Amino acid sequence: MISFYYILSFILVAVSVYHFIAAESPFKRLIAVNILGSAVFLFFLTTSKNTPSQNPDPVPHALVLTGIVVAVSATAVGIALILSLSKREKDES
Amino acid sequence: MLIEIASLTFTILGVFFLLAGSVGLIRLRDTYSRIHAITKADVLGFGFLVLGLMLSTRTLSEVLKLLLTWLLVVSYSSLVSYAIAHRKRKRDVA
Amino acid sequence: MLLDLMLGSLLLLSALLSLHSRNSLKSGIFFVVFGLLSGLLWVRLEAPDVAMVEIVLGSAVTSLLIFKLIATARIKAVKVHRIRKFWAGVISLAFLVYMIPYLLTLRKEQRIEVLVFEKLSMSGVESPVTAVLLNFRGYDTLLEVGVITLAVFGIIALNKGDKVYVWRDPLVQSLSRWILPMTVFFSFYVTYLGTFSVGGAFQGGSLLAGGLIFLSLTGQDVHIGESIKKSLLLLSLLVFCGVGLMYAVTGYGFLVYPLPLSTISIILIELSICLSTALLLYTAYRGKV
Repeated sequence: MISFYYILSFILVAVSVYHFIAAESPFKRLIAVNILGSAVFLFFLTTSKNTPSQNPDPVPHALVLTGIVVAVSATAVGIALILSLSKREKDES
Repeated sequence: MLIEIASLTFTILGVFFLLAGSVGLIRLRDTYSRIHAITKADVLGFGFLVLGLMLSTRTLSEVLKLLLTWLLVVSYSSLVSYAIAHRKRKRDVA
Repeated sequence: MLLDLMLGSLLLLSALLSLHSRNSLKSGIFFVVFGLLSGLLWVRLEAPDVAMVEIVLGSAVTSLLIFKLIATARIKAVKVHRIRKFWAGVISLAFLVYMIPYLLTLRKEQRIEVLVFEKLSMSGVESPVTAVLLNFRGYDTLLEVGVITLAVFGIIALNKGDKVYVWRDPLVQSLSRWILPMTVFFSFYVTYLGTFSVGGAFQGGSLLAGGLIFLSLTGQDVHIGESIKKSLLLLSLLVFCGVGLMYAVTGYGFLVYPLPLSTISIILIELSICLSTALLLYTAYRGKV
């Protein structure tokens, strides 16, 4: 079961890396980065469950928790950048 | 035993109505009928599901939490369908 | 097992649909689906703390930001060159091949959790995740709070008076006003729960942020002064640094809490993080203070 989650996270990373490089718009690139982040979180949480003990490891949980908040703020900055870029393009044309 | 059977029956009923609502959402043609499917069937299905879950809980606080969840989900789902219908009507008139 | 397989394949499907569809609105909607499914998956992986944050932030707030972008900016698609696509495919395939040996040598390993559960009684809280977050790895969280604050200041600096979509409908306005007190109550409850169970400052803060954003979607605002809002944005950074420095000066070390005072210090920091995170995310959505 654990290896299924590992394989899922690797496939998600591969797909989102492809779309990050070959994105046709900055918006698609933003979504690819977000999915890449989720794939990494999936990898971390799977690792936290891959222990012989009863409880999952809380350290990756805490790291993923902070990671999600940082990812959302990074997305917000990216969106602000795309918005100001499109506004500049509109002003120039 | 009797409570378990009742809980299971209500849960299965809830799942059935949720499934019917989802099928309606996919199969029906225009926006209004889709809203009709999703509001009627899903609210009913979710109500049965919460009822079934309530019967399987042990403490009163869990029952109250489920009740609160039901209230919030019902008010939000009706709000969302209201928003969709409002937008659709505005677009049709214009 | 079956549930895991179904959830996993649905997750992959929604990610693929979100990345492949040409229409940006469709892509955004599938991204919301992706966020919700991953929240369910975190529950399956026994990480309810992470699931709460993912549902509120990863799917709700991120998708609101994405829809704001779709509504205000015209997204231009550029034709991608074939060589670029080729190299992108090569890189992602190389990654997959590189990871095969990792999968084959996989086995269950003892991790650091033994140490965490051993030292839990010394942290001042009963929840292991909160103990790691605010005591054992307090530096990480302090820097994270710094990152969010910086990001929000960047957003305020970039904002040039963008119009935000609002829907001034009396029904929705009254519902949002009716629901906000409940959200405030619930977010503080979740923050308090973080000391001994599932919950915590970031979960509570993001819930509160969701309530505030819902209020602002209906064209309303919280009536507190701008200077108070600005100081609330910096509150968690100041409280965190202040508490850390206080113990550094008194001889314990930066962010090393003495045992009798650790619970009260952590609760103080958690409350400040809850308030600040909520206001920071709200400001990040609105683009201005």
